[in-house]
Amino acid sequence: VSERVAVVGVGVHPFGKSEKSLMDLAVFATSEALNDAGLKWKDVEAVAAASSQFVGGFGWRLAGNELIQAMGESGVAVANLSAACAAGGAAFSSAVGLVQSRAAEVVLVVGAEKMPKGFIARPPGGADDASDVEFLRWVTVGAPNTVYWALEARRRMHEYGTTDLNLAQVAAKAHDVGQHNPRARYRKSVSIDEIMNSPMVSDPLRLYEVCAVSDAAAAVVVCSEAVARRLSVQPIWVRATAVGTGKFGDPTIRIPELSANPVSGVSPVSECTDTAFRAYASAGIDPKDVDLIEVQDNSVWQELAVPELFGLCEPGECDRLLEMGETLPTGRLPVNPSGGFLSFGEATTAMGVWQVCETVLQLRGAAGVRQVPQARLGVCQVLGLEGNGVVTVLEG
Amino acid sequence: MDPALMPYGLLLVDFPEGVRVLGMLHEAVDRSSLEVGMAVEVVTGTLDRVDDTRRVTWKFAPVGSLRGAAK
Repeated sequence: VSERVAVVGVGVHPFGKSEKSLMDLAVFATSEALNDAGLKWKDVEAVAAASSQFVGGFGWRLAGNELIQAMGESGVAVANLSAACAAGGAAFSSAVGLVQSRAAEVVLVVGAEKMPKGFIARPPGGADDASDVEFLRWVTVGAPNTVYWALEARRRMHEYGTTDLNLAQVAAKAHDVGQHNPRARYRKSVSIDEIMNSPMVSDPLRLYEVCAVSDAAAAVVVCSEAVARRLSVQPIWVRATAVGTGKFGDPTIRIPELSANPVSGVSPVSECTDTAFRAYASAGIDPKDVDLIEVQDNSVWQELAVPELFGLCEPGECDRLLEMGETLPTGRLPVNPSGGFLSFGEATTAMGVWQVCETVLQLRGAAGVRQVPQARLGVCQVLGLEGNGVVTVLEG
Repeated sequence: MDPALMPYGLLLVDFPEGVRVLGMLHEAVDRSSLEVGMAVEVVTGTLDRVDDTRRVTWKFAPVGSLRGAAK
């Protein structure tokens, strides 16, 4: 029997544009997470760090080692994980595995990122070469990331009758909720008119309907049940954490690709959808039991599509649930009670860790006016380019 | 307006062979004429001009819509 794993500490550096160095952000989040758990750096036996790098292009770093050098060189084990924007989720999953297998009793998970200004651009330094998909998509087709989400949104409008107003309602709801989150970057409500009059980015998605990029860091402490029982903080239990990659036949055009080979019966966004159902099976839960979900809302489209793909409601139902207020924290299917990426901006590799922090606060009943009443089961979803998905199920 | 700042259309097209491909709408086609599900064909179109050289790329256009126009 594998070890039960608890989340006992969470820390987030507030999102925004920061003058601080990347490691200052990471140390801030780490210290907050350790304090929250009532643990010290010397108690940490391993570090799992989200380690994709987006500043200056896509690449890798040794973020875990940098953090260890900043916190104190205690000789702990380290895992540096790349999974593009899903790296935070991958690091969390790896940390859970270390505790489950009893390789370590206390593991720190960290993700920190400083993003370049503006939308994510073509990685610099690439040759104009027809064999390079990044050249093809940026130069010969003109497809930044927003295009991929816009195409999905347009298709949804055709299939389910989603309207421009529905898209704006998602953004308005995100800011209505996010304005109450002290760590969010955008802390004011935004009217439907402001959203619908904001500049068009990739038709039908407007500026307020796609997420910004931010600087931030997030950290969590996971530990064994024995350690959790000695601490004074309420443990939140990891019921499942599943990592997946995309399947052949997935109809979704996956960033940064320019084509897909749809095969009947293969799930859209399979790296997340199939992974979610594996996570439910591993946790022994029914999707109907889920009390809240944090989805990677790079755009308003994801907030409508992911709960349906994940079996939390029927296909095409999310627009109506949204209109009825059912996706608010007090509704029947709370989606992104944190305020989501739309309120925070995406600090790529931090996001998978940050979602766990937000969900832990909900399951502790410590989310203030954003609290989901009687929240017991929470799900987190991150998606990284080239087909990386991580889905986590937490229980209070 | 700077040609690089002009809006352009993008299509996701299902080919009979089973592959789904992303590409631009041909610059001579009115975007408001597009409908989900309509039949299109593969054409070449202008990507940009660099030092008087016209570079071309694959594009899509509704079947027959470029008849008479310079492809």
